[in-house]
Amino acid sequence: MIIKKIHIDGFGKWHDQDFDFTNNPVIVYGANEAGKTTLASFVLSVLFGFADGRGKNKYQQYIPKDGASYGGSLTVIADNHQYVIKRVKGKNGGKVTITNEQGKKEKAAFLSTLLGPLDRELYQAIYSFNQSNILNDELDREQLEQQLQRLGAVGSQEWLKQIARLEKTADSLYKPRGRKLSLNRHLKEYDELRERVNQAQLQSGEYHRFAQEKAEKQSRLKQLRQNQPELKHQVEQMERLQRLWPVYEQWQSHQKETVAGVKLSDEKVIKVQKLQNREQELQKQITSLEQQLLEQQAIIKRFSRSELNNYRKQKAYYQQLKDQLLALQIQANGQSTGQQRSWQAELDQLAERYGNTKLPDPLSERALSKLEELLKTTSQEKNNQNLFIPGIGIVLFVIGLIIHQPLIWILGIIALCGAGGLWFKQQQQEKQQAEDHRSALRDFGEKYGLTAFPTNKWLTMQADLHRYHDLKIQLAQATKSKNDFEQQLAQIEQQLPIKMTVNSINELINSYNRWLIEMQDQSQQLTNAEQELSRTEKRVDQLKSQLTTVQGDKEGEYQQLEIKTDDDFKQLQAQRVTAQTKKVTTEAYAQQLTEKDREQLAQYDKHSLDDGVSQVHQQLAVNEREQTELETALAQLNVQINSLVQDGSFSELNQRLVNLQTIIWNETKQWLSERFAIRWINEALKLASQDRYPKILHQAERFFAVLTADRYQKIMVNDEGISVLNQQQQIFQVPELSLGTAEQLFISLRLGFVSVISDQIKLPVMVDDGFVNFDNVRRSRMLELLKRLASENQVIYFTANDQIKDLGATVIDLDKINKNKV
Amino acid sequence: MKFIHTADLHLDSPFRGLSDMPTRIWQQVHQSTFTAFERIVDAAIAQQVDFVLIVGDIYDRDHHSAEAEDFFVRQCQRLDQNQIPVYLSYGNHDYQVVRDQENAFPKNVHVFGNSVETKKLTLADKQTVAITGFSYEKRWLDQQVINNFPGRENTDWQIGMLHGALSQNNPDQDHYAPFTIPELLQKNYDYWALGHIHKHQQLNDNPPIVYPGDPQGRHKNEEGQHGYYLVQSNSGKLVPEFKVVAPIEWCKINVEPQNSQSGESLVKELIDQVKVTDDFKMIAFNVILTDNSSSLIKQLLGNGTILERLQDQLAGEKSVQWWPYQINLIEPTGLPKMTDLDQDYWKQAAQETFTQSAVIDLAGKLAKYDFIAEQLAEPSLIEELRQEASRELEGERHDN
Repeated sequence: MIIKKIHIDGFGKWHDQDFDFTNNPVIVYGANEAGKTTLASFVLSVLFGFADGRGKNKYQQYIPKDGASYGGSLTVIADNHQYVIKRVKGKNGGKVTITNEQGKKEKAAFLSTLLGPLDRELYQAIYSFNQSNILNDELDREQLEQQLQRLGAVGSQEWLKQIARLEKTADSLYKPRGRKLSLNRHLKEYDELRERVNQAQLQSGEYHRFAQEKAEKQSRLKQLRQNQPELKHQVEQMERLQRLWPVYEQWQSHQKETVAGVKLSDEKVIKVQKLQNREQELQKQITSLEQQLLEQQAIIKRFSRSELNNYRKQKAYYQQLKDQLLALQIQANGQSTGQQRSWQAELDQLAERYGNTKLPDPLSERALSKLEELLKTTSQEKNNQNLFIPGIGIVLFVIGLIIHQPLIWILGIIALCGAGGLWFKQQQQEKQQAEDHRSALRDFGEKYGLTAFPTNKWLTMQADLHRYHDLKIQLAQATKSKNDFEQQLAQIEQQLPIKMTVNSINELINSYNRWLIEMQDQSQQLTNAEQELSRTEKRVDQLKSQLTTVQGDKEGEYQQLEIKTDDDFKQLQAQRVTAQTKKVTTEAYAQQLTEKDREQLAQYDKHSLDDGVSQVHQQLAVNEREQTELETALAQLNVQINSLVQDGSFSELNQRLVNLQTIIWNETKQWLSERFAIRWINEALKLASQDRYPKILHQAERFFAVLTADRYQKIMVNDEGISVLNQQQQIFQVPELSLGTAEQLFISLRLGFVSVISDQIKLPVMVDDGFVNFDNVRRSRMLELLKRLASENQVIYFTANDQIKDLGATVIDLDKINKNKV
Repeated sequence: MKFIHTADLHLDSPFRGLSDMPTRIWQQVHQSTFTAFERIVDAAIAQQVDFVLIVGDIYDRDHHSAEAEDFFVRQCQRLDQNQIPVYLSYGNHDYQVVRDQENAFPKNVHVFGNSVETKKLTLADKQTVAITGFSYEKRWLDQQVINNFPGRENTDWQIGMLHGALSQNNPDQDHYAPFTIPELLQKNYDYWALGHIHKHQQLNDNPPIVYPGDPQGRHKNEEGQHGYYLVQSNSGKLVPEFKVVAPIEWCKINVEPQNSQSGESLVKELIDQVKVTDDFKMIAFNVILTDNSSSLIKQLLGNGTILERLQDQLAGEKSVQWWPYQINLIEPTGLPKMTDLDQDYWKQAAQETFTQSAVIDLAGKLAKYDFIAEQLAEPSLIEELRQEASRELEGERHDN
């Protein structure tokens, strides 16, 4: 881009002023205060915007004091086209309008296509050469070297400032060895906090340990609690064994004394006892029977009298006597006088009834029958009336009437008539018969002496006649019997074994009977006694024989048992009982001891058992004590754990730690980004420089030769830095150069850079005459340099040195313009 | 059958990315991992599940309090009282040597050993379940432990418990029992209960391969819903269902300040953006600035004044349902124009500058801090630093 024309409406001291930049380089001359800097500022302001009036730019605004309108325009040529850039007062650096050749306005953004990526500062850094961006004494040579090395990039100086600034801020944040810087402080704080967290973490570890311990203790406690019943059981068992020990001992000793040689079996005892009992029984029986024998013999002896013996001999005879007596008695009783008297009385009575006459004998059966016949015929005639036929006639008659059967009732009448006839005939016959009868009776009475008695009594008196006849016989017989009886009685009385004084036969019989009974009784007793005696004797014999057998058997048994007497047996039995008792006792002991007890007890002796008991007691005690201890320990652990759990400080510290991490990381990142920015800038500058340096050097060598009047021919760059070669082929490092020469080198390199990047961007180079150290440089050489430069870029050279006019170049003389204006 | 699958409880783990906050907020935050797990246990009891799987990282080995351990044991005891068995394996954060010795857990807790082992159980309905898993013995586990998992057992169901990450085919990254999905499928199990990744996700549908995520998100990168999976059998398959329990949700809210020219109005604008719900929210604001935004606002945001004011205001309120822990400034970034001419050099320089070795070199002894070292190892860090640096280059020019 080339500036062809400048029109200032109002800017600083300039107003309504035009400048034409026809030559290249454009040389602007003006003494101090002539407006050189203002003009340069105007160009910059139109291109990059008015200064905003703040900070260091405050005095760069150049607002016209005389109230002229602010701003103006530049007419420029870019890419063979002409544009007018006009800037007037407005926001954000003023209002820009760009008008092209056709008078059309371009967009505001078109400006950046003209100016490239440059802003005011960067433009100045590249294209502006004045005192403020030229080396001075204060710059140390190493920095100079650094600056030179980075010249190859756009805005390298600006970037170097950035680096300086970033280093400053980064260093204010953190230095590896720093102490008071923010990040350093935070790191220190972090270390301290972390130490505290670690301490607290130890607590957590402590918790872990406690929890572990708690779990272990709980598990141990659980185990102990589980074991406890078993131990208790063991104690019980052992104590039981201990209690059982005496029993066991007893049992054991009994067990040893297993009674030797008791051959006596139960069966044997029973058998022997049976035999003994039998023997005793027999002897007892025998004794008792012998006693009986004695008694019986006594009884027999008592009954053995003559009377009884007599009786027993003549017993049948005496019985016979008794029977005779009894027969006699019966006889006597039959002839009792009472009866004889009654018979006599009855006889007298009968005789009186029939008049004391001698009474006829009773009729025989035949006579009686004849009489009865006679008497009977009389009575039969009267009674022989047949009512049969009239009866039938009546019945038939009635029936015939009833049933209206004339035949029947006629028959009835006939029957009645027949009956009447029959009855009449009979009446005739009867009168004849009665006459015959009365004559028969008279004959009969005479024959049997009954004539003294009326006929009708003949029959009835027959019974009395019989009775009378009988009584007379009986009385005769009784008298005869009485005589016989007395005769017989006397006979019998003589035969009786004893004399009895009695009044009657009855008494006699009674007495005799009593005697008989007595005798019989006594006889019976004697017989019984005798029988008994013989039976007893027989029995005794039997028993004795049995006894002998039993005793034989017993002795046989005794022989087997190798004893002789009952006492021996008793002794044996006693032994056996003792043995049995022992056995029972042993069994009783045995019952108190189970098989298992015995097995267990067998493992001990008294001493070891006691030891065992105290051992299990101890075990239980240990268990219980440990439980108590564990419970106490657990309670303590719980307290400790709870205090740890409730202590929230760890979490808080941890969070603080993490928060601090956040802060530290943010700062670290900030610091890193700054550090990286520095590295990046350096690297970019280095890269650009490395790439461009050969070209820059190529250009710069020419500029440097011009500026140093060919004293230096070559500029070299290597890893160690920049060095120059002089005519004498001597090499100088930058720090070895004089400040003036170093400045010339610097200028040369910068100009070299401008020409190198001119294929990317071409803007006017503005050189302000402030080259202090150029004093010793010839102006002609300077002009030569500018001319060379102008072959690529437009060069605008501001100078206060009027010698420039002598060099024959076209000069814009500001002094002159000012004079003209005034 | 019905069970709960959870992992990465990280009980009592501190919350990363926070700076100081009021005590009550801190308590709420601190309590959240506990609350989340307690809610899971509540659900297990209410749902009467057959068992609970916990696939590693119950707490951080190096960062957990007695309270956390005690709490976990008590929750297990609650499950024990309800006859719910717990199957747990340790992960890379609670790695330890598992011994058969006494531990503080109740008897319903079954801990997997350091080698792959299979535990079997029979459910109330006589169904049999085989559960295969293992515990980390060390912080890292480079071996492909999946190869040690046995084939399917002769049980009604088989579940694999695996705390680890999908293989990246990169030995530098595969530190957590690396596996591939085909490897899991090949085992022919009914369900893969994974752990380690904190975002809940299902890697495969049938059989389900599931990361339950952590029940409570613990930093800004764990935003979204957090909870557990309730898994139920349905016609011979196991169907997982995600259930939310996290009492605190991490959120990001993008804000484009409209007319705020002052700090106060911006604070109000930010507060207005928050939708208050029952769940407590930890909020990061992304404030998106444009070229037109006032430089004052930028400055207030940039130096943290706005966040401080916002926090102060909330801390003063009686009940707070959210907490702003971060405000990010989002603005168009790019290298300064100045670099345009040298673009190629800058790009090349960036490539040569922003390297892992440069990070390590620069960090120097800072890397001795684990947490810094971890962050330094983050692959995304380089790019972040590059953007930061770009902002430095550009940002500073604005100040000039």
